[in-house]
Amino acid sequence: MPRDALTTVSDDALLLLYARGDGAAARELTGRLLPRVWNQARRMLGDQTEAEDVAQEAMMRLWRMAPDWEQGRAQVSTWIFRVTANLCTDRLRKRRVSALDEVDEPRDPAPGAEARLQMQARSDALQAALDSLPERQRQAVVLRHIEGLANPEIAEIMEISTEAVESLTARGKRTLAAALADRRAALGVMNDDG
Amino acid sequence: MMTDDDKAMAVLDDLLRDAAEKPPAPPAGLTARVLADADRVQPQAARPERRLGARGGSARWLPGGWQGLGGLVAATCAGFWIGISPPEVLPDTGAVLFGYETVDSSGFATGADGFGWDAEEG
Repeated sequence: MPRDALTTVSDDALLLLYARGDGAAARELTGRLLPRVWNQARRMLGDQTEAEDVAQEAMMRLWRMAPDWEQGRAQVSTWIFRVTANLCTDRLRKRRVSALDEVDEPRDPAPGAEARLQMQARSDALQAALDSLPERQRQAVVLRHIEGLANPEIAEIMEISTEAVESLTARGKRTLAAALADRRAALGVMNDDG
Repeated sequence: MMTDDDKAMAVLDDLLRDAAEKPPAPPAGLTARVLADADRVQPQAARPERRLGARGGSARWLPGGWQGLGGLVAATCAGFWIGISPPEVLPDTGAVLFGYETVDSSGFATGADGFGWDAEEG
């Protein structure tokens, strides 16, 4: 089936089509899910190479599970977010959490590249602050505020109550804000006027 | 007036919004690897057109497939062999056709007599 014809097909149905041998369904699912899975892993791990490994492994588990997928059992996206979260947890347990101070200070920008470097510095600062969070808080904040998931879906992914999700994200944001305040000079965006 | 905490939270919200709205695309190499994985582990049973090669294509429309074709060949060979070398109880059809033998139809009647049916009937 042409990929254009699949844009309105649900993730569930795409998985079924893939299991029946439709290659275009795999491309459409990859286009939908891989960017989100990779971004989740990147924010959770703070390491590009590890994030790629985790994203590839999560997608591989999706392909292998496709023939056994029960239609309507759960959302495919929820399932793969949970797989990714678990893979990230495994990785984090095998290495120490990166310290906030390990992030390079922004370099003097070359003319014309200032805006791009400023954006990179902001992204790095956010990542460094995320890395300083306890793992569960980081997961909740990434899923809620970067992936944009609703609390009930996060609760399903993390296998906790919705109230626990709210608590984790609130505490996570407070810790993040404090971590960023410590780096106000490096960020250059937290001046007294703004 | 905003407190320092309020300002820090506002900056955080700004950073999170940026991260959510402008996510970078995954590296092209990663996408290629994921698609290669998908192709490699795609269920084989669902892809008969890939499983059957050029050799398999000609037999799949036969009733019974390759096994059916094998049985047909065996039956043909057996029939041919019986035709050129028949058991003694059967007439040699080839020899009869070419005039080397004749069929003695009376022999069948004589054989029937041997069962004694004629005697029972008187």
